[in-house]
Amino acid sequence: MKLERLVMKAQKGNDKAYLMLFQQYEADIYRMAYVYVKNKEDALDLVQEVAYQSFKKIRTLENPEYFKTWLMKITMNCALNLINKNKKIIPLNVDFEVLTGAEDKDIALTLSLHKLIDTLKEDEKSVILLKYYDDRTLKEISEILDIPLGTAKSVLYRALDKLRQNVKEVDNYA
Amino acid sequence: MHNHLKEELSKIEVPVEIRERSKRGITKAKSEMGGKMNRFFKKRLAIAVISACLIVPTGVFASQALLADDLYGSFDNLKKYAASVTMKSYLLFDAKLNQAQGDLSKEEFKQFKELLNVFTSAKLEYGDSNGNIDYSQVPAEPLEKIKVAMYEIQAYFDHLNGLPSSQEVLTAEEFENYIQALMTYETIMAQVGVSSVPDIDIIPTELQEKFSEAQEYLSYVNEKQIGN
Repeated sequence: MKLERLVMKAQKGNDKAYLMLFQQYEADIYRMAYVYVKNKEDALDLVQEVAYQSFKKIRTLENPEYFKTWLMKITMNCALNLINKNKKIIPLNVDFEVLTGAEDKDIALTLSLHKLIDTLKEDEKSVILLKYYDDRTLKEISEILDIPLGTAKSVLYRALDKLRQNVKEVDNYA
Repeated sequence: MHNHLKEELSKIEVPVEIRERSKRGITKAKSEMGGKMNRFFKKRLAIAVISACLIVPTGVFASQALLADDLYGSFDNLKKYAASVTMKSYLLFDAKLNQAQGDLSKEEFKQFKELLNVFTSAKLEYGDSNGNIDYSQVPAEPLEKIKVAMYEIQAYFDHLNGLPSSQEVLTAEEFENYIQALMTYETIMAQVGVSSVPDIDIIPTELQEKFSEAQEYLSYVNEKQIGN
């Protein structure tokens, strides 16, 4: 069934239609969430939370064309909320957190991906994900994240700069 | 850069549990969604599963000759069985009965009361403290009797609710499913031990799907009746 049709059905409260729709994006959402929270359990919690919040708010989505972007925005907000909440609860040393996270057995991540995930700050992740995972323009990114265009640009360049250094490092290892 | 990021991200393995988690989130949202239809539906449901509002009046009212007393016997008798029933639901029920008396012909009303009697005695016999019956625990013979009464009484409830008869609106199979959904709904309420429609979270995981399926079906029937 076409996306527009599923969105319309979901907006009328049809949860089966929404589940069909949501499942097309759940893997993307999980991966995005993972980039922020860096562990399987929290990422799964986020998927559930995004499913919950997005279905509750689906009536507010005006243009079905932007469904994926809309979901990404909700994912980012949920991820940032969770991170902030965890920060308040456990004031752990960040390096220590990253180190223990990397040792999780059930996570099959490559070193380079870890580096990508661990190097960027949250705002940089958001810009990079929207730009390269959702193919949004800088202007769109500034609107989605509600930041000035100039800020979006500088965050993007700063993030790219960090990543280039990292990719180089990874290449050197290889 | 473009492809590199997508490629890197695709290395993040997606666990199989994800299906279940998406579903859980959506089910939870669905169960909390309000709206006009939903409120109306809940109200009607309370009457459709009338039985459910078992009805304990306080002493003051017990002496009054309310129609509902005919069905439940003496108040003292009832009080032994049901704990969480409010005066409001008792009076509502009585009002509904009075209305029924006016709306239905004498013969119809007599039949209606007989059918209700099957329910009320079943409630007293098998219902929990909230008046909900776990039908999986009812012996086959009385279960059959209750079921038959349930089939027949729906037409009266529909009439009293000002809706077209569910039996006519639905196909035979759908009507069967409808009755089944009503029973499943009540059974789960009895198993969870609640007096009003529970939040999906407090229902044990293994029952959640069954519960929302039943809820969905009742809502489907309701929509069909309103649409007709």
